[in-house]
Amino acid sequence: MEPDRRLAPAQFTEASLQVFVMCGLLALLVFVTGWWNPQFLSAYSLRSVLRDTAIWSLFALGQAIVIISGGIDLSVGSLIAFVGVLALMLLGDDFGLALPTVLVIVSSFAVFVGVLHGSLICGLNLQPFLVTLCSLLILRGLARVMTHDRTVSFDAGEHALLRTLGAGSLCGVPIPVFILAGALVPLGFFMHHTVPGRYLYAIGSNVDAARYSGVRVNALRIVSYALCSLLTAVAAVLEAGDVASVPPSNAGLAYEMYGITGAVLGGCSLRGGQGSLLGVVVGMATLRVIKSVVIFFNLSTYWTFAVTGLVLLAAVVVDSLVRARSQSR
Amino acid sequence: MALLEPLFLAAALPRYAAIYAAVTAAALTCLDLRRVSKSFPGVRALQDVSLSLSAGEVLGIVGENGAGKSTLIKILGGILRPDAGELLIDGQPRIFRRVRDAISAGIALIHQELNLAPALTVAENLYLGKQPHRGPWWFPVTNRRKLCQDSSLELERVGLSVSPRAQLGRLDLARQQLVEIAKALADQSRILVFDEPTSSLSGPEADRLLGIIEELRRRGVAIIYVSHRLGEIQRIADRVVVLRDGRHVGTLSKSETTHDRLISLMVGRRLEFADRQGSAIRREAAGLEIKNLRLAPNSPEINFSIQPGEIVGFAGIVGAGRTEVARAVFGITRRHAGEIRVHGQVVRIASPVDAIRAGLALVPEDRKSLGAILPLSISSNVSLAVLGRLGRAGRYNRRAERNVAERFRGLLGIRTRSLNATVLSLSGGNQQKVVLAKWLATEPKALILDEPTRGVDVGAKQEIYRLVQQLGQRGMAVMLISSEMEEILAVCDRVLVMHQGAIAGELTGGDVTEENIMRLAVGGVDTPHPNEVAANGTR
Repeated sequence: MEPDRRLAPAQFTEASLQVFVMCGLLALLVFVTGWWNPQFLSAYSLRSVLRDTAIWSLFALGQAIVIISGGIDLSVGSLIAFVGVLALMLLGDDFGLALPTVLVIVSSFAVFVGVLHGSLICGLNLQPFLVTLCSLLILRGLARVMTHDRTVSFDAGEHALLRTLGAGSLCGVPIPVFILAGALVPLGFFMHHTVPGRYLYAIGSNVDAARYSGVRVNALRIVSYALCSLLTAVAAVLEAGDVASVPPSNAGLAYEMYGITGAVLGGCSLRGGQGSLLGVVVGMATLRVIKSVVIFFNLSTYWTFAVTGLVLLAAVVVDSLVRARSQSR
Repeated sequence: MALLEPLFLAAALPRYAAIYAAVTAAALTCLDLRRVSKSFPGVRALQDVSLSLSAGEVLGIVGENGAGKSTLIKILGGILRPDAGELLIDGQPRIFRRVRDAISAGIALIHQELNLAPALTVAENLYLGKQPHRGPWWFPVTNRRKLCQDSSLELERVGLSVSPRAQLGRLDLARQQLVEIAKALADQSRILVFDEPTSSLSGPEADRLLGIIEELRRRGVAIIYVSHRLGEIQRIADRVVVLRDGRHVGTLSKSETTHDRLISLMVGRRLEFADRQGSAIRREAAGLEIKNLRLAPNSPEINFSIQPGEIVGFAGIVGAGRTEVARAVFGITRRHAGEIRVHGQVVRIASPVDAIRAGLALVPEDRKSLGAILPLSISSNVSLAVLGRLGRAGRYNRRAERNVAERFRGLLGIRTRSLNATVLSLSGGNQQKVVLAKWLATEPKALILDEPTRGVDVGAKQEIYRLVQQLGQRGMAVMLISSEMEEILAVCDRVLVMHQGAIAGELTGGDVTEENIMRLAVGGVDTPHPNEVAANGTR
């Protein structure tokens, strides 16, 4: 029989359709907002949207990898605060380390946290929700203890490189966008074109069947948590560079929820086994644009959360209706 | 209207007379099933089954796996509704639409899996949903004192001496079961249906339970007792109903109940199977050899070996420990002790990864939760266990994946429109073929099949049998765990029968008959203790 080449493997068609729909929605949002208030399309505003999207997408990608493999990571926001504080303290006068050294240290720490999450979850069979909830509390607490709850900042002149990484632009495009691209390409390749990546989908769909099939379930789940923490640490450093300071009690607050929202908008299912990384970036861009929409429509910024929640709810409801329709056919 | 009524009554008179007769004939008959039938897609689970039960009687029900016992129990418990037939309680026809209806009619099921809340106390479990309370209806406060007093009385009735305040989950299984019986009695149940109640009890515990059942009978409770353990049935049942292939094939009174009669009724006579091709057993190093396998420190030792080209059936009743052996061999659960050899070589297996590397493959018993990844495509499923080998340096090779899937689609006749379709969209038989394909793609030396045709239609079953035999011809060592007698008889060169975690015996050649298998599977009276047989259970 002639192989049917018109169709890509099942999970890709569905995910790419969702990405397509989300892109349409995003374009619509941008268009309508720009039409209502042309200020939105100014270079400054667009650059800030791009920068935030890029930084947020980094940890959302990590979250998505964890969610695809059937887990969840609630510690993202606290890890952002902790890593931000840690990086700035190491750079500061007390330690006076160079930026590359600091990057190595915070990345290693993040990987350690991720491996710890994964090991507790797989080794002791603890629930991901609980383990990472504990980290959410512990890391936030430690960040505040280390700084005596005082905002840590750095001198932009002295640490120009860090400042440029977070806030600078190249040819008019914010630097974080390049960093995101640099992460997205290998991660996308990993998830969609390598065997371990494919296994992460299998684990998320049915962990027992994957284990019976000889997939190294535990090792891969640990890798997923490590990747998530690592990407979060990168986002933390960029965010610190952008804002030039890290308030330990506020930095990264509720970012885990941003990450989860972005992943779901981008087509991930919290049941695991579904989603594409490109979709997550689109989802995150949508999230960021909604934030701007609230501002440019002259609503109080207090509306941001409510509007975001409504959009997510609408997305989930529409998705489930479409799914029910396509299954009944 | 009023004019019509006498007419109507007259028409109904014969029926009333019949009911009247039934009521007077036995004031004792409390449960009456009349010509009950139930079908599932592709299977007639029950056909015209009738039986009756009186207060103070123990009715045993026996039959092979799949004879219809579970369906019957579910109908009695209101879990399933019969397609046809009547159910009468005290001569009144009743229809159970839900479990609650059966309970209010006075029927209680005592399952293998207990329906209790382990985190609550014994007393709370006894009165789940109807706790004594005081205070107004909108603010009910538990009446703890009454709860405990009432519970103590109920517990006494089943001879259980535990504190009503004890947490249920901390009791052992035997005691939990007694709590469940006490709960049924507290619910005013007059008909207790026991489904394999002793399957997870030790000898003395089972003894004690049987004593309690006898006591309940004396008090006028009507009891249905379903078990594979014929010894218990003989001891306790006043009458025994034998089911086979969904039909009621005989009722034996206490005096007629012998081991052999029961078995011959259970087994019946069946058509001979299509002729087997000559066996291809090779006399060389064993394809799969298990030595001194123990699952737990004090569990029986298991030894067996399977030659290349040999298909060895593992028979036994559900829960005899066959799946546990397969899982331990495949490295899913930990072994306490034991050596595994594949083609003569000792292999270390601590995980499925090791097992696959050693050349083993396991088609697990639960296709939907363990075998296939239903939401993924057929190609993804077929290639899952070999994905690492297909690509170079961890690269996922979609073309190779398709090729593998395409090859097995042809080889096994997986019927699908596209290999990109999800496994969910396939029929049971084709899903199982996908799982088989996944394992054959690993080119195993020994294949373990656990209930490979469960939930598979007849046509696909035949294809799977043919495939297994072909694999045998090509020199594969096959371990076939099956609860379907026909499968064992038709496909296997040799049969090992397991009973209570041990190999109770081995049957070859002409000895492979249903009677012999059943005798060993139910722990036949004339066989020595399982542990002694296990030592001789290999060749």
